[in-house]
Amino acid sequence: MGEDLGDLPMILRWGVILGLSVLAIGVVADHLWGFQLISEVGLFLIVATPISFLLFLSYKMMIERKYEIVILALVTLSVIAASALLSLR
Amino acid sequence: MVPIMVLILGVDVKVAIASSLLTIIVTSASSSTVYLREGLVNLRAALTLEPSTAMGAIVGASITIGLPADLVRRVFGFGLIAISLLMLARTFSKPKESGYIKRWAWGVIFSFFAGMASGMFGIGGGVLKVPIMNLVMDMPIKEAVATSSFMVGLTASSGSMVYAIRGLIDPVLVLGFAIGIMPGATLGARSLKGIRSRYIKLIFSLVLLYAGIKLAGVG
Repeated sequence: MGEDLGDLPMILRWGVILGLSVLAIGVVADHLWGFQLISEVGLFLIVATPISFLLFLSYKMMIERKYEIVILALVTLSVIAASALLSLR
Repeated sequence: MVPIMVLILGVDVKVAIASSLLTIIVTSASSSTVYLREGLVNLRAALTLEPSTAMGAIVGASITIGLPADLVRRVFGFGLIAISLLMLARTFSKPKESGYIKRWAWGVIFSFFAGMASGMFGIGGGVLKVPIMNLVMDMPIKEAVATSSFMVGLTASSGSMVYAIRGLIDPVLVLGFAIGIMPGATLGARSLKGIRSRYIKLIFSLVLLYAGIKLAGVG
């Protein structure tokens, strides 16, 4: 049923852990010095984690010549990017 | 999470929805890491349904942002009532077990609405995605749960982008809920082992129904 992805799914776990760690530092920095950039980076890392996983997945599938998954992953990424850009208007 | 943030913490409903979506990414990433490593996720199905789901999430989030906060609160309440009734119905229905996935087009269409509900209400949408995959597309229930868990993170990520652009996410809420949820989920899973899952679903559906009635202002 599923593909053998090896350790690739760990990107998801470590991505959000990294995002939460940066967010925690950012929340303290914001509280102490009113510096919001770090918490914004933390939020960005969390939001970007599933999308980065899709990028790595398509790369791995391309190496393994599983082109159907590559195309589907790239279509998903394009739709997310296009919809997000449209929502900016 | 949104009812707790709004009804107990008094957070603005739009900020609660936005922050809830970020927390969902964290929980989905943790669970889908396990499901993906075990090969339980049907990647072909997830990536076929996800474009329309993500589009729905972005449309849903844009609708919520455009509406007045009081109306969002009421719409959220009615949405919660509908979801809790769906959960109640699922508690007493038997899942389908089949190995051959069918009705892809219906799956894609319904997924758009599941994504829209996710973006509008700040929910993961698993409560809608699992029945779509299991009851409409005949996907085996375990595969549907694992696939939905993976999709939820992508959908929440798409929806939260719209809120993040408008600065509606509260970092403290996200951090607090995400840190609380991770050990809470593990502890809950251990302590609830002895209780039948049907009762847990029943209690949870009734709590959601109550929260929905309170938020919709019909009670």
